[in-house]
Amino acid sequence: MNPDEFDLEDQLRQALQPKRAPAGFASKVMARTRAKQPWHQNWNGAITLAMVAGLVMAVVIPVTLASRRQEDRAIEARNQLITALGITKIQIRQVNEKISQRIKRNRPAL
Amino acid sequence: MHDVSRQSFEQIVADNQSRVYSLALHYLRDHPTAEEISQDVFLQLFRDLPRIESSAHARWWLRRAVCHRCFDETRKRKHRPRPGLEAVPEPAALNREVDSFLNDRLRRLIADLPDHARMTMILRYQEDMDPAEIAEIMKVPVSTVKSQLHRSLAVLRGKLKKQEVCR
Repeated sequence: MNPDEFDLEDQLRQALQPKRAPAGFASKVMARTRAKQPWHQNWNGAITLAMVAGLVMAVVIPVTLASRRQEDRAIEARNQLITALGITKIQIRQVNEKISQRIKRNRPAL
Repeated sequence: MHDVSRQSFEQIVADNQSRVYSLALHYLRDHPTAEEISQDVFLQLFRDLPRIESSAHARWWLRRAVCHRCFDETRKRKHRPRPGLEAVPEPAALNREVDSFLNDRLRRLIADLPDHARMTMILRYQEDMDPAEIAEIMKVPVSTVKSQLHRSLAVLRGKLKKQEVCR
């Protein structure tokens, strides 16, 4: 190697020797990581909360829907029963009238 | 984060703070920006800590991260010029170090090199990395690193000879 080059490379190593980091550098970094920590924790908390909420919704929504469907079917059944009772009432009244008319016709005149 | 991870991160910061800061400082020649970038790089590492396998991996990761952050900063500066080291007074702690005229002259000459050649020289002579390692960090072919080193040394030697500093 050329002696000039050797000297230059050696001088470059000296010139580019690592400088000490400014005072308090490490503690500033650590403080910034601590400042970031709650954000991570909140983020994790938010994810957990969202998962729990999702789970609750997944259970509550089908149960509510099933209950409402059952209620609708009960109301429909009650309405059908009322209609059937109404029809039966009319039929009983008609039969009753016919019987009354026949009795009147068959009664001997005094 | 677990305490163990925090402790190992603290150790990584302690072991590498001067290296990372110096890489940024020698490249940018601007103390506040070098400190800001170094801190950001450590915070980036903190977020990536679960993926770090060893202290050697952390050192490699930090070198690569600071190198690319410096390139980003240079790109930004081309649009928004900022005062360099010349405009900023040296901190008291640095004045105590032996800092010869020749070393200062060399640092100024390195600062005049093109961006990639400058980082190549810093990684070679500050970090004592070989061309293959530099190529891996800078994501360029080894031949490019070798030719950059060769050309940069020739440029520096030429400029120093002109100023009758080089033997």
